Amino acid sequence: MATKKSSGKDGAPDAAPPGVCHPVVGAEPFLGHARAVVIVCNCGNTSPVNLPRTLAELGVDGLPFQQCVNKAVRTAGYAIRIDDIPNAPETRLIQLVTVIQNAPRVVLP
Amino acid sequence: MKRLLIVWLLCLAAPRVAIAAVPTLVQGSVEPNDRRVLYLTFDAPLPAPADVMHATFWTVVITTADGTSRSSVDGVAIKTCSRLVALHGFLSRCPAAESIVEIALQLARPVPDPARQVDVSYVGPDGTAAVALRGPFELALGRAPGAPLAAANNDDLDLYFDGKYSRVADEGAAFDIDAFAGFMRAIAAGSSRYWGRAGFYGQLKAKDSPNADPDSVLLFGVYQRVMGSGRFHGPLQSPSLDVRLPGLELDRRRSQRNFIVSPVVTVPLRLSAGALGPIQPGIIFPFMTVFAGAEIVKPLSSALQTTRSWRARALVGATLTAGYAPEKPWVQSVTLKAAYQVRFLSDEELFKDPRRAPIDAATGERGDAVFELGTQSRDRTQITLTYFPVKWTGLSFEYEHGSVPPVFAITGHTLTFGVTFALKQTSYGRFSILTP
Repeated sequence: MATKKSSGKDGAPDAAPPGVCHPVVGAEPFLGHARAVVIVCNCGNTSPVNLPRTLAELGVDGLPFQQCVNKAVRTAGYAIRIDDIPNAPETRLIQLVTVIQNAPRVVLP
Repeated sequence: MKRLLIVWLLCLAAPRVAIAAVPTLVQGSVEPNDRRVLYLTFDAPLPAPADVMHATFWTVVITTADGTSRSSVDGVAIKTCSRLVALHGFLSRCPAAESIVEIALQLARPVPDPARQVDVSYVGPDGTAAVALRGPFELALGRAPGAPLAAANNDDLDLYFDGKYSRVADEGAAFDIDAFAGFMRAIAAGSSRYWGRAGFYGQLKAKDSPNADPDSVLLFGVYQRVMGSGRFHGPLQSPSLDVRLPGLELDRRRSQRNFIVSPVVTVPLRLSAGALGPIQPGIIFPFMTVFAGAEIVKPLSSALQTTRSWRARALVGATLTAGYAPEKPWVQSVTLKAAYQVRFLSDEELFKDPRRAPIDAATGERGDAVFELGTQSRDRTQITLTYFPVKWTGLSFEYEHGSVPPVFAITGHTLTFGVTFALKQTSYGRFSILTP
């Protein structure tokens, strides 16, 4: 039986299929840094090398970007308020990672 | 001879020093789930992995209410672009040489909570860099084990003002005002379903006006919703729907008041073929929006229009943003912003065209234009080139032509030059047909 491998101490997900906007659902209590990097880079359709760049520099419209991040975090099983996801033109991708990595896991009733 | 040799050696060494990549740390944060780990991000040009891997290159100083203490670094781990691509299947490219995406420092002891500041400095073969971690997000403060952080405290107020006042000797004063302000919030932000955003906007516009009384006042509520997942599809992002409801178009001098309902679909477009590779600092990648919609109008009162029946305008347009922001002395940024929109009318509406002004028989010159009714299309073009030599103050060159509702007083081809000030924009969610 195959076992899951983790790429980092914060529970990075396994390899996702190319182009997938959200990582594999995790079991950790918080979204974690690695998953946040994957979500942010995929929603910006860019390389992780551009983490220091702003949304304006990357030519990304903040409105659909915010929706993409919100949807990907929720699909991964974590909760975040859409208004808590910064999406101004001057927001750096790495700042977004810092904000969303703390999204707590959704507790199912 | 010995001096010549030293000078020659210095000359050989100088270009190497000059072109050496100076590392820049742009961001640092404490890992919320293990406070012994700090994540750090370098900006381009990125240092080589071997130049950051030694723990002795790093110094971490933690400041709390009790004082300042130094924490030793036990280990350094790096995440490289190619490793992330291999792990997560990013579609975009990595640079040819191996490049560092992030660095994780493992400290000997956890960063206390509360902490006031964490200062990280790097002294390596490429030079020195430093970053200070402050605030609840960077320091992952205020979270008991198992509890989330407080909200990010975003500001959704959107404010834009562009005003000019000119006075020519022996002639009257002229006011140019172009301003808008709005407030947008997510509907039921905590809900598991996405309901979109709602808010309200106000716009003022006066062109070559003898007083500060605006020609055009638009007041409207806006409902905004992204249609789809928000992801990129090639160069396109998911479209969004903006509905102005209810809206008012006002012109006090001509007693023109229109009620308006306007749905508009906007498609953001990044001018890249697909996933974006590494971008050099300062480049603002060209970005467009293309929009199409309708304006359904009911004149409530008018001094010139005889009918009050409902009418429609088809609305099509585009915006473009591009620039270069090297953030160097005297060249902080140069940005180009352009907006074009055209309205096709279903029924006669007011307009004033200076090219159709009556000619004075005595002088042979055109007098003041008068308002007329017509169904011709009404376009508006605005192109602004802004140069910021310093951070918040710059020079702007603006070209403008066309007209805006409700009375469509056409502005001829005008080119203005002025001083401009920048206020930091904290949120997007702007009504899509407004100036970018």
